[in-house]
Formats: sequence, C-alpha cells, structure tokens
Amino acid sequence: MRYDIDTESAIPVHHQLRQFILLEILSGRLKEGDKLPPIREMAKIMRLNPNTVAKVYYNLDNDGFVKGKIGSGFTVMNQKSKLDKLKISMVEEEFKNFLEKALLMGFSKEDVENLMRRLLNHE
Amino acid sequence: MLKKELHELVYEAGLMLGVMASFWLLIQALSFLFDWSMPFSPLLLFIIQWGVLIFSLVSGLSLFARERQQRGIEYMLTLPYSRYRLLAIKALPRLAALIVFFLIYVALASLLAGPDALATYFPLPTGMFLYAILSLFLLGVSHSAFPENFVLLTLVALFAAFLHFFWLAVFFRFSLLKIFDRYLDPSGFQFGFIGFVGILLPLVLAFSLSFRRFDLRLSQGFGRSFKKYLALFLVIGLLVSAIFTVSISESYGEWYSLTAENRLVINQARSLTINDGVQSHRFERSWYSYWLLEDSRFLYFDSFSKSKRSLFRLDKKTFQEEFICDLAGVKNSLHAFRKFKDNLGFIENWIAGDFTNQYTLYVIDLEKKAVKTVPLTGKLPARYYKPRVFGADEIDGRRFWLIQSTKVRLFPLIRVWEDGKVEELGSSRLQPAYIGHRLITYSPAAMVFSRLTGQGVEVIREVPEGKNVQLLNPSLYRHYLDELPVKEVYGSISKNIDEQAIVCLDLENYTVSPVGDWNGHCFYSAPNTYWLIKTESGNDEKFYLTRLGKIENRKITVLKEFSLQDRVERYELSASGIVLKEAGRFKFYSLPDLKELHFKDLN
Amino acid sequence: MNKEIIEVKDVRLSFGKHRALAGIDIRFNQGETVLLAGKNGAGKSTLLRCLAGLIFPDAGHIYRPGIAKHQIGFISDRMSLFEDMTLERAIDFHSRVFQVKEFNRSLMDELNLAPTQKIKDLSAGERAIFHLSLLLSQKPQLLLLDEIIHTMDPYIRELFLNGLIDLIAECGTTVIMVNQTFSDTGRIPERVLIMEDGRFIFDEKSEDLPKKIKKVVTAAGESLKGDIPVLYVNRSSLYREYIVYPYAEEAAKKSGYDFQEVTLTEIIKSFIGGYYAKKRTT
Repeated sequence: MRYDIDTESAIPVHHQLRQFILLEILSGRLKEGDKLPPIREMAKIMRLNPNTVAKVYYNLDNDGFVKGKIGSGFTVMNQKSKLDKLKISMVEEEFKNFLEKALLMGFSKEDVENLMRRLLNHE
Repeated sequence: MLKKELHELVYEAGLMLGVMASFWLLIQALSFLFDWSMPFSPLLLFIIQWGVLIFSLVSGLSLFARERQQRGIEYMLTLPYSRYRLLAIKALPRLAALIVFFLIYVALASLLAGPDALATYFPLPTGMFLYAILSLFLLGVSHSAFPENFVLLTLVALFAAFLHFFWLAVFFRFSLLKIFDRYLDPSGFQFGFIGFVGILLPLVLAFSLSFRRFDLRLSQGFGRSFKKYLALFLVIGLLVSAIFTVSISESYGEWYSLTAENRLVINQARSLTINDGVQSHRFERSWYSYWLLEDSRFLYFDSFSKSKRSLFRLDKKTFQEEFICDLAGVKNSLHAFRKFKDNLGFIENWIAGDFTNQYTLYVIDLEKKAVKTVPLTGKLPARYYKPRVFGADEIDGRRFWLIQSTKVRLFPLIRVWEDGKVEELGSSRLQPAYIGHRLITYSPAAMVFSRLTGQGVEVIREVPEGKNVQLLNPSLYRHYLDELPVKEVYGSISKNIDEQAIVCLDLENYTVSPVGDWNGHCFYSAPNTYWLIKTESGNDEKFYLTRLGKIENRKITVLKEFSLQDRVERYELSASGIVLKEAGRFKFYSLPDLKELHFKDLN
Repeated sequence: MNKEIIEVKDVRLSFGKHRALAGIDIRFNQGETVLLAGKNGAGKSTLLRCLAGLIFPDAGHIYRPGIAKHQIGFISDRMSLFEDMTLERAIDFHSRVFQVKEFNRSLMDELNLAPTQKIKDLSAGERAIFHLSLLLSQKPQLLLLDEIIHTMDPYIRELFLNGLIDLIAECGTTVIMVNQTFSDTGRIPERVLIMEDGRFIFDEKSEDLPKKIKKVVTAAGESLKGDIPVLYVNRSSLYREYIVYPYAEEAAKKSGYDFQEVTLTEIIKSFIGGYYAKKRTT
C-alpha cells in the first residue's frame, strides 16, 4: 500500500483515508471479497486515531462500498455502478484542479487542448 | 511499597551501626595508644545513645529523601494511595525501628550495668532517652516534606530541637539540681508534657493538617498552610505549656506546717514564710525550702537561695536567718538524717558514672558550721539499699552514727565512728531503733535491747512479748527520742493493714502492756506525743480523715470524728498542732484541744 | 461514548508570583484524544499534573468522579519512576499497586530489555517504552503524557504510538498528551488545545481546523486591508503570509482575498508566534 495521507495537511484526515481506500478499490488493488485491514492495524499504519478509522469504515459501510462490523472485519463489496460514478467524479476533480492551475499559469483553452492531445498520443 | 521502605530502612540503619561501630573502635584504638582507661559499658551506652538520637532526627528528615534524590516523587504521588497512607508506610517502619533500638539499649544497659544504671543522668536516663528519640523523630518528620536541601533541613530541625529542649530547660532549670527529683520528678510526665505541647505538638499538628496538600510545589499548598497552622498552634502551645508550668509550680507550694509553738510555716515555690499569728516574715528563695528539723531554738532548712543550695536556720524568736553550710556537693535530697547534739548526720547515696553505688556519711557541725565527710563506699555491703541514719551517740567523747538499710533483714546494721571506722552490729528482722542509749533490734523470737560499747554490742534484755511490736519510728520526724529521756514508748502490733493493737513498751521494766486497738495509723511527733489517725476513702477514691485521737497515759482518747462529707484531707501533725484541708480550705488547730488557730495576713 | 468524564472548573494555580494556571475551564469526554500545545511555560505540564492529582490547584475544582486513582496513567516529562528498582521489581510493584491482571511484555521484548536491568540504566527512549508498558497494562481510563515524544528516535516513537493506538482501540482510554507539533504524534489527536499564560486560547477539533484557520499570501511589503483578524504574520523577502483566525466565510468573501489552507504545525506555530508578536508591541 502506498501511504498517501499527509498528516500535516489541513484536509480532514478522515476524508483523506476514505479517498485512499476508495482509490485502492477503484484501482483494483482491493478486490471484491478482500478484507480491509483491521481498524487497529490501519490506524497504526496511517498513524491515525482508531476512532477516526472506525468512522471511515462505518461510512464506507453505510455507502455500501464495504460490509461488516468491528470484530469480524470489513469486506469489500461489488458496487460497480457506484464505483463507476465515483471514478468519474474523482477524475473530474483532478482534472478541474489541473485546469485551474494551467489557467492560472496563463495557458489558454486551446493550449490546454493541444497539450492534452500531445500527451495522449505519446501514450 | 512497604518492602521498598524496609530495604531503605535496613540500609540506613546499617549505615548508622557502621558509623557507631567505627567511632567506638576509634576510641578504643586511641585509648589503647594513649593508655587511657575507658570504662567499657558507659562508653558503649553513651555511643549507642548518641547514635540512636542522631538517627532519630535523620530518619525523620529523610522520609522522602530517596524519592527526591531519584526523581521518584512524581511516580510516588501517582500511586493510588492517599497522602496519609504514603506517610504511614514511610514513617511507621522507621518509628518501629527506633523503638526496637531503644529496647535493645535498655536490654544492653540492664545486662551490662544492672537496673540501677537506667536511672542515672549520664548518659540520659531511660525515660528521657525515649522521649528524646520520639521528639527528634517527630521533629524530623514535620520538616521532611519541604524540598529544601538536606543540610538546610537538618539545620532547621536542629534549631527546632534546640528550641524544644530550651523551652523545657527554661521551666525545669531546677531539675538540673537533683535535689528535686524526690519532689518533682522532672523526668516524668510534666517534663514531657510541657515540651511536647509547647513545641512538638504544634509542629506535628501543622504538619498533619497540611500534609493532605503535599504536592510537588515548593512552599505552595503544603508550605503555606504549614506555616499558617504552625504559627497558630505554636502560640497556643507555648501559652498552654507556660500556664501549665506556672500552675503546677505554684500548686506544689502552699505546704503548711506548724512548729512546736504552733507557728505556721508556709513553703512555696519561691518563698518561705513564718507566721506567728500576728506577724508574717517572708524569705525569698529560688526554689523550695525544705524544713528538716526543729529544736528548741531553731528551725533548720535545706534551701535554695540565688541558685545556691545551703543549710540554714531561722531563730524561732527573732526570725534571724543564719547560714550554716554549703550543700552544693550533696546530690540527693536529705531525707534520712539525724540530729545529735550539735551535729547533723545523713547518708548520701548516688550512682557514679561507672554504675557503682557510692556512699558518704556527712556530718555537719551546726555550731562550727563545718562539713565533714566520711566515705563509705566499699565499707558498706554492695547494694546496701538506701542506707539511712537511725541513731547516734557518743562514747568517751567519740561520736558514732548508726546506719540501717531499707531492706533491714538482708543487711547488717552498721556503726560508723566519726574517725571513719566501720563496724557491723548484726541484723534485725524489723526496723531498729535507738532510744535512751539503747539499741532495739528484733530477733526471730524477741525484741532485743542492747547497749553499745566502745567494742561492740552487749545484750541487756530480750523481750519475747515485744517480738512483733513496731515502734513508731521517730526518724521521719523532727524530734528524736535518743536526745531526750523517756520512760516509755508506744508501739503497735499490726493485725490487719489498717488495724493496730497499740501497746506500751516500758523502757525501765522491759514490759509490754496492751493499750487498745486502733483502726488506722499512729504518729509520733514529739517526745510523749502520739497521735492516732484514721482515714477512709470516699466515692471519689480520695482518702479523707475520719477520726483523730491520741495516746496518753496508756490510754487511747478519741479527739474528734469527721464525716466523709466534711472532706477533710491532707493533714500534717506537729508536736502540738494539726494542719487540715477541709473542703479545699486550709485550717489550723492546736492539739489536743482542737482550738482553731488564726493567722493574720494569710491570703 | 461521548460521556463527559472530566470537568475542570475555574482552576487557578501559582508558583509563588508566577501564575501557571489563570482560570482553566474545560471538559473532556470519554475516549477523546487531545493534544495540548503551547509555548514553554504556558502551563501545560502544570495542568497535566493537576489532572493526575500530583498537585492541587489554589482555587477551582477538578471533577473526575468516574475515574479512580489507579485508573490514571501518567508519564511526567522526566519519566519519574523508582530508579533503583530492577525492571522485574518495578513490574511486580506496579502490577500489585495498580491492580494489573496481566502484564504485556511485547513492547519490552521489541527492545530486548532484560528484566534484571535497573531503571536508572535505561536510555530515555527505553524508559519511555518501559513506562508506557507499565501504564498500558493498567488499562487506564485516563492517560496523561507529558512532553516526551520529541525525545524519541523514530523507531521508538513508532513503537510508542502503536502502543497508544492499541490502548485507545482496546480500552477507549481518554488520552491527553502534551506536544508542540503534529508531526510527532501523527493525526492521532482528535482535539487540539493551545495554552498561553495559563489559559486556553484555542480549543477545536482537529478536523475543524482547516475551516477555522486560513491564510492570505501577499507580496512582500504589502499589508492586509480590511477588518480581518490576523493571528500572526510570517514575513519573508518573497512574500507575506497573514494567518487568519477565526476565519469567517462572509467576511472572507467580502474582502476579496484568496484564502488558503494552513498546515497544522503552522497553526500551532502561529499561535505561539502571535504571542511573541503581541509581547513585542506591548
């Protein structure tokens, strides 16, 4: 696992953790049927309060991405439609950030389009 | 936590023993090198006492020293014990150890020097030693919670100890002069009470009340409240102890006695007063004057004036004071003395630093105002038990003094000639007497009359009927039968504790005739003057006088009866008068007519 | 689980003339993990000691009715223990006194601490771990940690924080720890308290921090216009950072400035810096 949680950042940590777990699910590193690390272990790895981790797990349970409870573990569920929606919104978010930065630096819309085409072709 | 404390205690005690042992070894080494003669047991006991006293103070002060030194106080305060429990866990084992050391000392002292040793003044007598241990420990503990450095704490505690014992000494400066041990017993309750209430109790109270606020901060919480309480309690304590001392020293006074002419003698703590009914003559003293005896002209006193102890006399007519001699060298109170012509003789018995008994016969020439001493140590049997002079006489110009031991049956009677020669005169089953130049002793079968010659004893007569007759021993009183010719004396045969059969002993015919029974005590107060007293205890368990009588012409006469409700207590009989305390007030009567005597200017 | 377990009411405490606590009013709920920050001498250790029962306030009260003395774990900044004891004895002693049923040696074993060593022979980090093991075995309801984390090397620090996480997960312990930064403690604390001169000047949940504090970056030399509460100004030759607290959405929009996020350590630093700045101007 990659440790992407920035403890210095002002972004709420529970948000960061949720994003991280969802990213793991979306990328396929966590598949349906896999169990999330126990709360305690996740807390140790991420250096978070177990209460925080518990909250995130419960929210993910409420949203249907995982199922389970404390003690027996949390299992990843197949929520294809939700995940797809999530994928889109996450990428959109990233893209918006990118656009904002580019425009700030002085790129025009055409410049951005050209850059995109160039990068995709190189792929 | 108790285990930890015990470890620390063992370590500290071991240290103390090590120091004491090295000190002792050092002294032994030095005395060997320089050829000193060191008495073994006194030195050892001295070192042990000092070691234990220092240890008492230090172990009190160092209650929290280990934790402070090792930064463990914070941990200690997080333990789920109340502050008081922590204090108890620390203080009680140390206190117990001190008591154990004290008991070891007592055992050692008894073993090495006998039980008499424990009553001496050098080193400290047992009672005072225990008191000092406890005081120093409490002093140490009450300073232990301050986080100052140890040296400073010790200095403060030593200063407090000094104040404490200084306060005691201020009130009991007299106790340094051992004459008063008979009357005041300063090593007893009063001594401890005053010092304890005056300075120790305030410290201990202030400490315990503030200790619940004991925490890590310097002088906050604990310190502030300690100072507050201490100031308050110290003032109260000093006041209470001062008032107590003044009241007991005053209440020891007011001892009333009557002379043969029924003049009133008033003994008070710092003055002596003679009141002849019309006038009062007051003599200032530093302490009590003890009226020793009276003859036709003078009253003799053992007295303090300006801290000097002396024998002096007062002229009964002119009330002139006359100094006789210096008594500063006499350590004990004069209680077993005799007057023979112009001599006063008494035995001085004390225990020296090496725990041996010392005896000296003092002979005071009342006219020449000279003191002669005859050392008797080694000439009397060992442990002669409170020897006293019971008679005196003169043969061919040479004077001798007769001495008995309190345990008459075990020890012989002794004759001491004024040149120092000592003779044994045989023993007596009951208290001997010397009347009319005759020695009266008791064999298993009879009362034995003897004459003392220059060589020894000659039996005159044995009187079997008299074998259990106790003569009313005159040596406690101020007139002596061997100076005045008497034809008969009275004695008693004890039937029960309080029942006496009074008999008359005819000294010319050597006969014993019964007089009557008396339920009470008999007193001889002057030649041919015998009084009879009966006391009973009331509901308050005090003894009150219920009957007063006299023996005269071989008859018993009851002079007066009192009921318990009259609460007549404390009496002193003299040759022709009696002092009574009736319902708390002093009254004086002449005897035998029981006419009340009034003394003007009596407050 | 949000039951209030400690209430501190108007607590004041002075060391002679110096006022360490000048009126502390605060409440703690069960299971909270609190970071207590502030410049040196602000009163953090003092407050902690009051909560642990080591010192008594001059005025005010501390109520913790549900917590018995043996349920409180405290590590002082000097990690006070009985120095002369061996580890084995210390464990024995601590277990008996604090009613510990079972002592967990896993932390000790990680560092290979021999039971026959004496406490005074341990290094600072080893001591901290040992002390923590003692406290963990107590399963305390309240854990109070003074500033010790910054003395630990990263390995020991991780061991320590993992032990802490285990305790929070297992017992729902309320933890109050004193520290100056977030980098040492990770995001384990959920609530941040900042003290200054014996008082609380900041009390927020960690997750609310980004909403309450933001910054405005301007060019060097440019001053901020408008009625914006500035906590601290960070000046350099490149730019100026105005740390704004408390952040108000309305006022911010009106001002037209661009408000950015502030990192957590910057938050603490700003509070402390702001204190010093105030001192300079008064």
